[in-house]
Amino acid sequence: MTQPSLRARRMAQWFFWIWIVGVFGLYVLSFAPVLRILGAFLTA
Amino acid sequence: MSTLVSVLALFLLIAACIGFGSTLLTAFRARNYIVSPAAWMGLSFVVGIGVLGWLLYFLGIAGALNGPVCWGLLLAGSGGLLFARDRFGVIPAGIRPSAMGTLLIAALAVILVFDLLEGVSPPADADSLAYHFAIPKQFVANGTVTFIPRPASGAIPLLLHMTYAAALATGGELTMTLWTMVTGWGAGLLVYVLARYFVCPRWALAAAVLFLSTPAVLYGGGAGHVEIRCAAFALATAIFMIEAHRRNALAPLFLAGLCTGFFVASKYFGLIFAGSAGLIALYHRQWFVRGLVFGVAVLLSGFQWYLWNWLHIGDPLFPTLFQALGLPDTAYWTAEFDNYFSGLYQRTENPLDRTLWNWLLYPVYATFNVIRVLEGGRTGLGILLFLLLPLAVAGFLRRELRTPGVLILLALPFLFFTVWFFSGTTQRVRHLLPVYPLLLVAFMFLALRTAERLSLMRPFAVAVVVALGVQIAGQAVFSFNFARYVLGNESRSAFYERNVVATQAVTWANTHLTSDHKIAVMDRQLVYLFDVPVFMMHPHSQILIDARPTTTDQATFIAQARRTGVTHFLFTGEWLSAPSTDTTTEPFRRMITHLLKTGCLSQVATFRSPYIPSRTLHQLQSETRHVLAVVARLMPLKCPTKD
Repeated sequence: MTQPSLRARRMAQWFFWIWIVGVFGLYVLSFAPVLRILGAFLTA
Repeated sequence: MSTLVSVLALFLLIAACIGFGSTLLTAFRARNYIVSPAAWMGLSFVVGIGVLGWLLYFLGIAGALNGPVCWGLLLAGSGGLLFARDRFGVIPAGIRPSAMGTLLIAALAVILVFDLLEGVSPPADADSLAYHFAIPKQFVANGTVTFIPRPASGAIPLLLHMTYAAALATGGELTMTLWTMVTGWGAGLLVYVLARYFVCPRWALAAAVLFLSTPAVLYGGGAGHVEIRCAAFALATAIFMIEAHRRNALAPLFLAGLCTGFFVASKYFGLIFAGSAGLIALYHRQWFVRGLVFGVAVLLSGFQWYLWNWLHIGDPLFPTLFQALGLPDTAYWTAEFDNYFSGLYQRTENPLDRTLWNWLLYPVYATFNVIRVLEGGRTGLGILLFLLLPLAVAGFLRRELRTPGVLILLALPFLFFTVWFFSGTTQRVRHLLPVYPLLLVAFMFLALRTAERLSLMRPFAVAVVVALGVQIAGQAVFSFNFARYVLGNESRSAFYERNVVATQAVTWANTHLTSDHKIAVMDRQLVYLFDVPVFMMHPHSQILIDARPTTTDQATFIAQARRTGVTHFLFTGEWLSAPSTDTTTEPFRRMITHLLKTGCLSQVATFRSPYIPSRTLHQLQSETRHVLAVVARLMPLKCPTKD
């Protein structure tokens, strides 16, 4: 089995980091309506 | 019942299930391949839960569902521990977990504390109070299993509910709530056991921790919801199917069939799982023999509640086949009400058209809370699968990673989801929980191997930590309600007044009514709390007393109530004559108002309780908004009669 090149691994790393940040960001945004309530809950 | 007895009953339940399971596993020569203590304990426990529920059905219909019989059954089951005595090893001294292992164990401890807070609190979940715990309570009170002609919350497969009944009959409510916690953790243990087939112990532990903190697990694990316990049966099925393939043997396949049957006997969607697993079992050159062995096992362990429904109402999948079978109208169900019920069900449970496009995008809709009705945020499957998706896909493209085991783990959820989505049943995401851990383990394995190959271990670990962090934070918020009860030394009645609307009316009824009375309630989550005979007068899922919002026929309403033995009613909120912006309930409201005015219904007690929009986020509670509750006595002599 051949190992991927250094360039391929770097590209994969960039892609996966962007993916993680993007997916997590979208997930947080999907909770936007309840974040305000959660904020009130935590500061109560 | 004392706490000591409750805890003793809990341990006896666990011992009995491990005993029953160990006996069955030994009989089917599973000792040859289930070697590790964790695997034996997890599999025997889960198989034993199924056996216990299966046996209790026969005791239940024989009218022997009581404390002494249940204690006896549990003691008998515990005898099977003899088969497990050489299976429980001890952890060798000197083993020190890695830093990651230590962190995961700490996370597990935090989850355990949160789960314990819920486990020792009274049940507060609406579905559990309405039927998951109310049905076992009714069965134990009557000492027998009775047919409940109510779809979705009555005439359903009740194998797991029978184990709740055993917990209630032996150790009371505390045992029952702790039992749901322990059985949920049984599923978590099996996630670890299954993951160990593919990854090292610390990543297997990570999979188990991720599973136990999944929002859908959090929502239903410690309550009476059956999905997490069905997940345990699905996990056991997958493990036995993998072993059947590895050994090219029929005995593990029979055990897989039994576990699938337990799922079938616990939830209608088990039938979809049985079809999915059956297809995989048939994918073999000895397809006939394997299909026969698997099918017989499923029938043997899963038939009971379908036969029960068929005997009582003629429809084993009540009410799905009611019109297809051409069944006649009865007091339980009519064709006209069937149309009403299915129309309402489609409108409220199926927001998505069943198209290929929606099927493909369903994971996006559910994960990112795009369609609220799917409840992907509060009771969803979390974010992990989406985070790992690119790595898992990359792993799947490598032939050497597409092992038969991985293919089984991917095929089961894929087939289940596809049939489930296109079947036209409810589209709420939590119903996918039974097959979620299979996908979780497969994704974990494929993504991990890809991460190792592409030097992506750091972002992979970050993805796992992010998912876990979000889930544990959600669990902390969810557990606050129970912490307030346990740590704040709150009374049971104060807890319920904070969590369930109109509980004062229930307290009044339990004090002033006797076993000769029967009270009809429309607010379903109050049912469990009654200690006197109660009838759930659900407006949309029963017709013994037609209480639909459009009901206006007073004479028929009263006649049905009298036939059901109702002597009192409890009306709350929108069902009373109080002004409301909701006009859909107006006709029924007017009828009740008229019956109260004419004296047919005599108002005997009135209560005002705070409106509770959320049990978890109590800050949402309004100081000004209240719900009115009225207890009324039926005065037959003053009521209109049918000519």
